[in-house]
Parts: sequence; C-alpha cells; structure tokens
Amino acid sequence: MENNINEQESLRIISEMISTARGNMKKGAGKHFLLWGYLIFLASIAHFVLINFTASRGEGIGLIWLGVTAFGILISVIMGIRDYRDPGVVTYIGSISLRIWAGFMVCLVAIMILLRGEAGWYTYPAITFIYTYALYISTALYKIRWMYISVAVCVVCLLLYNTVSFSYYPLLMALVMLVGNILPGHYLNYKAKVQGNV
Amino acid sequence: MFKELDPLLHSQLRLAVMSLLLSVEEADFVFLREKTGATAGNLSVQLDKLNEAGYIKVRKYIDGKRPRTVCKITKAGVDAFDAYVKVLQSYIKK
Repeated sequence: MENNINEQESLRIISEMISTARGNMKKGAGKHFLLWGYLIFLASIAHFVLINFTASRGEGIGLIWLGVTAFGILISVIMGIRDYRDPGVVTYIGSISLRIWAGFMVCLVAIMILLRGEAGWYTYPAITFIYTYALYISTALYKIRWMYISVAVCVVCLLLYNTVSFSYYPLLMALVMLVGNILPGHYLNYKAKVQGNV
Repeated sequence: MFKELDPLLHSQLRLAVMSLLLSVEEADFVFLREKTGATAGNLSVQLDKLNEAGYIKVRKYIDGKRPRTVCKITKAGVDAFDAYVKVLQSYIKK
C-alpha cells in the first residue's frame, strides 16, 4: 500500500473516493423529514376534521400545535444526540441541511408566537411560505430533481391559500407535508438502504 | 523540472482516505474502512501517519463500551492535497 501507484491511478482513486463520499446517504437520512412530516400531517388532518366535521370551532388547537412542536423538538434533540454519539459520517450536505431546518424551526416558533389569537389562521400560509423556501434549498443541496415537483406543489398550495376558505388551510398544510417531507423522507431512507447504509 | 509528489499522499490508501475526508465534514473509522476496503490494521497505521503529519485530526473516545475513532481533514491536509493535485496535473500535462 506504499508508493506503488502512478499518476493515472492517483487521479482514479481521488475521483472514485470523492464521488463515493458525495453520493453517500447516511443511515436514516430521512428520519427528521419523516418525524416532522408525519407529526404535522396528522396534526393538520386532526385540525381539519375538528373544524369541518365536529361542532368545535377549533378551540385549543393552538395548544395541540404547541404540544406537537414541543414533542417534535424533543424527539429531534434525542435523535441529534444519538447521531452525535454514532457519527459514521457527517457530510457537508447533511450539516448544511440541519442548519437550514434548525433555522426554519426558529422561524416556525416565532410565527406561532406572533400570529396567535385572531391572526392564527395566517400561521398556515406564513409557515408554508418559509417551508417552501427551506425545501427549495434542501432540494438543490440533495440534487434530487423530482423534489422540485414537491417545491412546485408547495408554491401552488401557497397560491391556493388566497382562494380557499380558512377551514381548508389545514388540508393544504397536510398536502405540503405529504409532498415536501413524507415522500422525500421515505426516498432518502430508501436511497441509504440501497447504498447498504442500514 | 517537475516537483516531487508528496510521498505521504502518494500511497493508495492514504490518498483514498484523504479524498474521502476532503468530501465530508468528518467520518468515523468504520466508514473509512468500508469505503476504502482496507483492513483495520492497515487503516489504523495509515491514519496515524496522516495524523502525525497534521493532515488529519483524529478524535478517539469511548461510546459506552465501544471505542470510536472520528477523523477530520485539517487546513494543512487540504493545502497538501491541493498541492498534490497541482503537481499531479503538471505530470499529466507533460
């Protein structure tokens, strides 16, 4: 393994290893996408059912959202600690993606605090707006072309907020989570599995 | 006149390790062993050499009962790799 390579072999090794590392998907790459995707999807559906099919006008939904967010953050922190203990590999893409979504979480909490009460309904479009932007950057990072369709669906949902009644807002949010988090989450996990990183 | 290729990098396994570490933020021993296909003993020796040269930073710790080794390329390592590739290019262009 000592100096037994020529220049061409050196170039081959460099190119092979760089492409191996760049395309590498860590085990459970989509777990954060799935956690938040399913949590918000289910909470949105629950909100939609509550206001459209029960006598409730959605009282207490703020508390439910706060609970879902707190639960999601708690599980994310536990996952983060486990990842730190079992690093395997930390890619630049994974690291940047983590920062993007951490920033999104801060914005999400700020929006929930700022738009509480009467303005509460506008939480959905406001979150979808920031979410679409974060998803667009993540899509560019991961270089998964079909995720641009997810981004496009999110943009359409953003426009639809302007035309449908408030009671359909949670349904739009559920759709955004389905195409933006749940499908990509399963895809990332599948990609890691195909690469044998399970 | 051609410059000499850095002997520390001009080795199949060390070059593979440096190329991998250049592309990621940090990687553990198991990842490097899997991707390079090296034996644990050989990889360990080569990592020590790169670490002694200051090309990589090795963090060793115990996770529960398992010893872990995490490697990260340093600024000196990136510069050395960059210089190595430039010399390599001059050899190929000749």
